[in-house]
Amino acid sequence: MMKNDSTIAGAFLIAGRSMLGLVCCCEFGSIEILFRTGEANMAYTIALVEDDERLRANYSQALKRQGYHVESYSGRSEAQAAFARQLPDLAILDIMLGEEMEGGFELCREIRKASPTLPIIFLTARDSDLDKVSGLRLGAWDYLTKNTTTLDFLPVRIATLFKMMEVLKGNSPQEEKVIHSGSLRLQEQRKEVFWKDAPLNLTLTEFWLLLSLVQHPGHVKSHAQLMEAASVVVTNNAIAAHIRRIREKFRELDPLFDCIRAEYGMGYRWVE
Amino acid sequence: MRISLRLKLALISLLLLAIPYTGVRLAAIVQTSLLESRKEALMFSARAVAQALSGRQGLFDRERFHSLDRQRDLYILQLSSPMRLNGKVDDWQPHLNNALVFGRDHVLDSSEEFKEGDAGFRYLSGIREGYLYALFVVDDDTQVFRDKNSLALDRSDHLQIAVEDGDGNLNRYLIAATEPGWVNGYHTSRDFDTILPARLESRIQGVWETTASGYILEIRIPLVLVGRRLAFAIADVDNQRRREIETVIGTASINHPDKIGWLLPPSDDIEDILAALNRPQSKIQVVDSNRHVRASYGSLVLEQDNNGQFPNQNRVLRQVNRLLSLIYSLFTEPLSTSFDDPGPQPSPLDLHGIEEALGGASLITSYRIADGEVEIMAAVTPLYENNAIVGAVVVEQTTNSILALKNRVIEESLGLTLLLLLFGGFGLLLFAFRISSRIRQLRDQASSAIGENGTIEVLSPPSAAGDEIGDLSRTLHSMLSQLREQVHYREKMADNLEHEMRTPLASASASLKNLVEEMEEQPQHIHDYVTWALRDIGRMEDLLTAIRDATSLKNALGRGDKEPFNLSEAIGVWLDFSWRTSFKPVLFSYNREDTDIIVEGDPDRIRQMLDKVIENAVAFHRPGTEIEIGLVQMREKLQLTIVNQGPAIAENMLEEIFSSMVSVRSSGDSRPHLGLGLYIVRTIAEYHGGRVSAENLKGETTGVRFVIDLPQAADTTIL
Repeated sequence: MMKNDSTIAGAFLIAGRSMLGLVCCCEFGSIEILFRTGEANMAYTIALVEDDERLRANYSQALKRQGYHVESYSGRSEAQAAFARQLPDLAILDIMLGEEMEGGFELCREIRKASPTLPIIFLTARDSDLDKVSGLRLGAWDYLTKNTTTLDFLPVRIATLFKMMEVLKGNSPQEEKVIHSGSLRLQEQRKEVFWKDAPLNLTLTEFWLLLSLVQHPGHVKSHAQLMEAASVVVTNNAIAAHIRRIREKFRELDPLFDCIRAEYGMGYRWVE
Repeated sequence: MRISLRLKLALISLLLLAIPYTGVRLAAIVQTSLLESRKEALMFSARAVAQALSGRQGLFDRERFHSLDRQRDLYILQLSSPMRLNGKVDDWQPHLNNALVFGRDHVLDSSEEFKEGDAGFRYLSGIREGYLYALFVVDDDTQVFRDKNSLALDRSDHLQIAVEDGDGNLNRYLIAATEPGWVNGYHTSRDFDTILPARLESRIQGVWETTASGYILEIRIPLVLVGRRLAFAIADVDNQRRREIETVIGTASINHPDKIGWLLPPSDDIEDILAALNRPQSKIQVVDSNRHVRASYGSLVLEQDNNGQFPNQNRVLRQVNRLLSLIYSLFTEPLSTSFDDPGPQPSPLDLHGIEEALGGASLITSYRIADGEVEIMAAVTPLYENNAIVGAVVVEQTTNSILALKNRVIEESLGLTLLLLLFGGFGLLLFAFRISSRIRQLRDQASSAIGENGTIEVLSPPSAAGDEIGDLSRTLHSMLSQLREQVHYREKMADNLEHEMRTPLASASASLKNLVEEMEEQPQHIHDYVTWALRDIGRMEDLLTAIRDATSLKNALGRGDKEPFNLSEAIGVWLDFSWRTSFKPVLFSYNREDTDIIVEGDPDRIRQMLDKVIENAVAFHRPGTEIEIGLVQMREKLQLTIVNQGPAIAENMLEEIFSSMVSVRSSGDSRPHLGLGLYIVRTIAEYHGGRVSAENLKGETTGVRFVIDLPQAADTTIL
């Protein structure tokens, strides 16, 4: 079911794409908004921490429609108190909470203390916060900017993360697909990446981008294709920023890493 | 022409050169006033001398200042050089020009009319070492010598001498020669009527030499024979046979003892008085009514002063002094310290002003001994006795001491100036360096405050100096800080705007999506409304993103990776896969060279830049015309041109369009536009070390050409 949704969302992406980043989103005429109630989600509990009341209500309503159990909180202390009683299965955190500029980061650290594996998705209004998420290494599994398309992809990501959790717990019937490319080893289901056998800690978006590149080594993936693969609608520059962060993570392990090449600003390709 | 502050101040310090001019002027004033006072002092001392002399009772009587007879009285000259009796005039040379000339006016006795050439003679006499020497240079066309066999002394050419000895006895002597050579005097009879008997007086000696025009007689008489009175005469005999005396010329005849003139030597008495009135470096002379110097004391010659010399100095200092004296000599008046002080003259003192003084006037006069020699100033005042003028006093002094003083003033002011120029100029120069380096520092601070990307970097602390430059530094600092705050605020504002707007936008779109999702039966118009609302929300979001990107572009550029890539090929790819499809049906042409053109840059950003330019060209192109893209390799750079036909840009806007928030679009355009596109183009071009410009097409069709110059990659190998 989720797989299906993802595909359709991808189709929308292709229809809506534009080669010119800043004017791209004027073309949203043909949006097909496709949400189905997801009764298959076995009542996972999702905690949504967001200080904007209406956004919180909207998102929580959309997620509930997917079949999840949603607990929403407006501030850090409130959420923290609730987490102390009972941890959710997944947490969506806004970074700026009320007056606390980095309230989300604080909360993330608290959750990590309690559970090292609980999936955390950051929601942020500012692009610049993405660099912080990446830089702070808070153990976030994914991050998204709050924009008009966020809700289109949020359910896909949540579903992917839960599926990944099941794989990691070992109660998934699916077989693990492993991709090798040079020194790279990529386990698709477990979302695990190894470079020269050293584990690489990528977010979901980064993982999908890398996966898209690695599946067809040598082939150029355009910005639009990459957006589609990562289930995001962002500017070309945001894609470039993601790629830059991926490279940085590789280079921390191997300063000579040079397998992701830019192709004339058209896109990127993986070189073995 | 650019003149630095240092040069200007150095030029101004040259004004110090006006100081020597002041010195020279001052020296001239000093000279004038000194000369005035010197004149007064001279006149005063001349009068004092005259007063002192007038007060001595009987002095002038004793010294025979009264009733002098110019024809008869003889002045005695102190001879300066040793004499030899030889019948030649050499010994007398220094005084020869002052010899007294005897002629028609001095004829004492004559048998016939006096003719030129009849025993006229020139006479000189003087005292030296106990003798009275006398020289007679006689013109005589016919010489008659004494007959050796005759006792008679006066039957030939001869010299007559009448002299009173120290005891007041009058003696007469004759000197006649039998032939040229040594002669002696003969003492004649005491009886005035006859010559004989005469006896040889061997103490009176002489030499008689024949010359072309007559003869020379040079004699000497021991001073023991000479008293206060003396007379002499030359007797001329022309007829060999008759041997009669034809003419007698001289001061007095020996036959008339009452007419013998006085012998007037320099007056010791007066000179003693003058010595008592001694004035240094001045000469006092007393002349009688005949203008003859009767007493003289003092000398004009200065003691050699060593002021101009620099003894006992090392070579460097001597060289410096020589150099300095060269400079001094441009301004000072040379003065000669070596000159001949004219000694006593046998002739009357020839000095301007003497006649006036003897007429009763006092005056100051000045003269030079010779051209270029020192100038001498003289005060002349009459000498009275009992209200009658008996002579004059002359006090002389050189102006050397005044000149020396004047030169000293000039030299010192010059020296002082050079010192001032050296130190003052040096000081000014240092000052100039200090000021100009402070200003330079300020300039450098100002220019370094604005970083490569136009951002305001860390400001250096303002100067603490309390002067105007310090004020300037502080003003500049506060200006820059305010500017930085404004830039910061602008960026912050975009940041806050994004944060505050995105959430409601996201919320609004989520609401719409929830609405659609939970609505069972959607009528078509409801679906349209939602779609339109979502589309407009999207437009607002795009605007936010555009502002955000533009304001944070400079920071974002710094994070990108530059790599060498083939721009020529990249443009081809972008054209085919992006621009042609995005802007259908707009026509594009691409003029590229066959060779690869490599740039070092961030491909994403270069593409972003070109996206903006192409987008702009498309927006302004005349429908149906082609947009021309050109890329050429030039020397050390490459040039990218994008040309579209369409409306021209106003000339004054050609530069402006690359600034942020400047747009020349007509308001009819429905798409969001904030005038950020070309600003982004410029920012990215400059980040890559290039520059961008726009120009209107010249020719028949109007249009605009964008030119982007980019530096060539240093390393043209592509990874």
